[in-house]
Amino acid sequence: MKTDKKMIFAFLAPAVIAYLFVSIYPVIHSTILSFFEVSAWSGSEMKFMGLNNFIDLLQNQVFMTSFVKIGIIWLLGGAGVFGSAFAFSALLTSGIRGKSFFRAVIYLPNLIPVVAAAAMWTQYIFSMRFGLFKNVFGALGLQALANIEWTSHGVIFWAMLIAYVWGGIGFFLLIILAGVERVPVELLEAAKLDGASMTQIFVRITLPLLRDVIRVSVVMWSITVLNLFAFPMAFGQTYPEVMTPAMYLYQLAFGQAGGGASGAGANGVVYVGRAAAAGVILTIIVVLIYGLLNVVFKEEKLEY
Amino acid sequence: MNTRKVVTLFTTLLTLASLILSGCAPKTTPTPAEQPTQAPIEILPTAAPTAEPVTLVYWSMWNADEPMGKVMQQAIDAFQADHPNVTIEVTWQGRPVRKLFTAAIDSGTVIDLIDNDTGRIALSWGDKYILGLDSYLTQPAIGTDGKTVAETIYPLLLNQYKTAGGSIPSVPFNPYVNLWFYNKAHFEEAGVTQVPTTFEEWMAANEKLKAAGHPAFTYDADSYADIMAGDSAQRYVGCEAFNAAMTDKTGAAWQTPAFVQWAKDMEAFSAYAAPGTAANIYPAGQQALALGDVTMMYNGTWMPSEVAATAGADFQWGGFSWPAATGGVGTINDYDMGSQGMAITKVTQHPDVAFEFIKYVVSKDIQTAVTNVGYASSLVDVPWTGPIADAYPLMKNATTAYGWACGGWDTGDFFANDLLPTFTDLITGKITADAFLTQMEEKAKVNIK
Amino acid sequence: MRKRAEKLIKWLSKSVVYLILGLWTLFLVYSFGWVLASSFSTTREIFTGTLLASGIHLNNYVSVLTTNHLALYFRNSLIYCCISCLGVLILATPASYVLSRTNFRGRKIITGIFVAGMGIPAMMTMIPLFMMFTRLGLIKSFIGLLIIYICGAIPFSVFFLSGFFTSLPTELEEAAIMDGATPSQAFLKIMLPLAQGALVTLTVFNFLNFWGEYSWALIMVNNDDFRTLQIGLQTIIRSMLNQGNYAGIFSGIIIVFIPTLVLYIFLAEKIVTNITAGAIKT
Repeated sequence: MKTDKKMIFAFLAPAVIAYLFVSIYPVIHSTILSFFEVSAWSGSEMKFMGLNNFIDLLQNQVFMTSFVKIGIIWLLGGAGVFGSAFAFSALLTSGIRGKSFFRAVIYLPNLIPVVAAAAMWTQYIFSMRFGLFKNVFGALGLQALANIEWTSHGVIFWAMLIAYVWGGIGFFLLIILAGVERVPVELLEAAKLDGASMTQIFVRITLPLLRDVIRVSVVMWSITVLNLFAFPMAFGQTYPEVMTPAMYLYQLAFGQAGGGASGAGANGVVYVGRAAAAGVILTIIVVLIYGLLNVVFKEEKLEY
Repeated sequence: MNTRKVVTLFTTLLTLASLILSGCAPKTTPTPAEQPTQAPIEILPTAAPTAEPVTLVYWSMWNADEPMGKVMQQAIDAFQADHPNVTIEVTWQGRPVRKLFTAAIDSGTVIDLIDNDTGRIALSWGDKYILGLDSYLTQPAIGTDGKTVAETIYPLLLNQYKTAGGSIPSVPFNPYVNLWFYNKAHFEEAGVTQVPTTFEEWMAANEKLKAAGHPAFTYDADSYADIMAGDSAQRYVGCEAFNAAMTDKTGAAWQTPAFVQWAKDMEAFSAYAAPGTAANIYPAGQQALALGDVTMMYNGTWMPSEVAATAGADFQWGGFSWPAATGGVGTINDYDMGSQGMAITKVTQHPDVAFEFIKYVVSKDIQTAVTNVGYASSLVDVPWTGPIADAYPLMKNATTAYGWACGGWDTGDFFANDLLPTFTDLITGKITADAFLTQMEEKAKVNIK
Repeated sequence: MRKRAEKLIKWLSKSVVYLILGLWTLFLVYSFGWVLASSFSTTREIFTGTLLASGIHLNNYVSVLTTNHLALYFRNSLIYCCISCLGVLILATPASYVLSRTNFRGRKIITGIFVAGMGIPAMMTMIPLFMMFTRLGLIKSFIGLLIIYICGAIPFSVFFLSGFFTSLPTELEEAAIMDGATPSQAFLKIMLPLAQGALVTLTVFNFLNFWGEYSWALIMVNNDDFRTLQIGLQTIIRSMLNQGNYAGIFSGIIIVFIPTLVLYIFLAEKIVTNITAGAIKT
């Protein structure tokens, strides 16, 4: 299409300006702060640190472990979410009745407010007193499973992972389901007539056609997991076992939330410069991952 | 759905909105709180009331709907009634105010009055943002005979935190103390007639409770592991040694006799932990106490209000200080305590009027109202009532105040990442004292930089 | 014989499918049902696992709903959400159109800037923007939060719409231009109507996001007159937390949740059919 420079500018400029208005100052402010030691957000009392903030962070055990944690969440959680989403989409497209109903049921957890979901899991499902798991496992005679202290510090990471995956399946099911339903039925029938097995059909026909859907899903899952903050915070905010990079950043930027529900406790020493450095690191990682995923899932227009 | 439908949807929503709008105009005047039934506050005009109108901006850490918010509103109403030319413009920021305060001041917002944790006011905000009140504290208090403001308040609280420049920056008005809350009915049942003051007495009491079928204690492992660890450490090793151990990468502290004794005593204590304690996520632990599932729990004096609905009016609340250790550094008159304090900012134009308001907040009437909604009072002469009544004589006999969890949080990452999980394992009976000490030494060597 | 075996297998596999889905539904009923039932119980019942033992208590809902200013907060939230959604559409639609269907120098860079925008941790921008807006005096009215919402939603909206526009055939504008239309007219008269589905989906996403948004609304609105529903309810919940009224807390949460649920139910079909349109070929 012929490029009309004036139109391009007029169409693009407002969005770019609007976006830069709320991002330029903070980003520049943060990037500058990341090279200083700062005790207040206004940037007074700054001591130049060079790259020390970054070095400290990269050597900080808590910060680096938090990346390992979200790595595990990304891999295992991703497997759980996507595996379940694919499985459910297969189930839902196998010609059963009530598809819309079941789809809504699977999506609903995604809509539940984070606070409610966290309370539901920590105070009821995982409860050692009257919890759902304890009762169900006990009734099934699986006493060992019933006795697991899910929300104790040794297990809470996995408990949170289970809860988080449960809440995430629905969103990706919607995406994948819609993609699966777009696969032309005639193709699948033709393949069946040609004698292809179910697996062959899935691997050779369905998956490639879902490539873009999968790519977008993986991008969104990756960005979500990288910035994971609200759910682990609501789940067990003071447990180091569920500390994510974003939570660590929050702690640096706003002070530790030690001291129980009343907010007594830590005077909340704030390390704004280091928080800014952590923010810079996170942003760079997001951009890198997006670029990587774009390379792995090369865009292709498929002819069929 | 075509464009027309989208437009219709939006128009409908906006019409709906404007209908609601016409039904309620924004209310800017705060709703008046209920009037107290006590005698009206005596006014001692210490600052000559100025004729021209004054507005004080007060950023409150409370929410308008919570009990303390209503008490503050009561103070505001009383003050404005007595000083008709002064208006207090209160913004109920809630707890997040701690994040916004300095940024707001730095961007030019005019705030006159602020309340928050006294430690934060002194150490995080300090002389840069907060006015020193030393000269003001010598003014006569309201409703007392001749006592100055400073004299009416517990010295331990008033002097607990000073700014780097050495001044007292805030007036405590909502204190807390950490103690072992217990169920008096359980004690009676089990034949425990006196509150334990030493570790031996305590273990004897726990045995009796166990015999009577009551798990002795629990706690919320996610929220209060810090004070279980820090406050117990104070009795055995003292806060100084404790803080040093949190930053000592040789791990030598974990072999000293005091630390060993601490670990051994906590191991003995773990026999009485309620099952599932390690898995408690707030508020499960304190609810268990309120329901009578356990006998004791260590927490701050705000806790009974948080479980009042579950405990009911019949719950017999008692409290005692963390029992002393044999040969330990701390005594039972040392308490983990703190307070919310009212402070005046450095950017205020009316410090005298602002302090006049603070005097209302720590007047006898308002402080009585504070105790009526279940909190403790910072005035020595105002007794603590209801569930925390036992704590009042303890407070009056207190000799030392130390910071939350013995200051553990301020020592670095090691406290939360390494000590607390391992300590929870110890005190819930998952590891022995020897294992605890060995693990802590290892972790110190590896994780402390 | 073979046919009967086949039929049996088919029946069995269908039963298994229903069983799995049924169990999943059951789990949802028991888990979320706990939240719902708790909101109608008392706090004591919640923590003894004896929900609804004393019948259904409506007082929790009544006390939350009759809280001062709740209607005002509802109105405010509506204003913020509607205006923000509109603003985002106006700004993001032309931009994503241009980014995805034209070619010019710097296109990749600008696209990259928007993508990076999705990755910037919001926490880092909160206090600097709070300070900037305070100095500009934008905190004292609706404007501050509106700007944040509109401008903040642009990266994702551009990302989403670009994907959709890319999936449309390229011949459309060429045909229009050959018929004598200017590029802008081609956009307005041809592309925009085709994009309705994606625009609706995006607006629903944005609306739900704005409605449930908490952190920005907390710091950008200092005056009670402009408070949002989320903040109003969270304040109530916080007050109840300090008094341990968990039944009340859950009823507050349900009240917050209901508009989201209603919106989802009514628009579920639209979201599903249009989500792929935006998702594929970004």
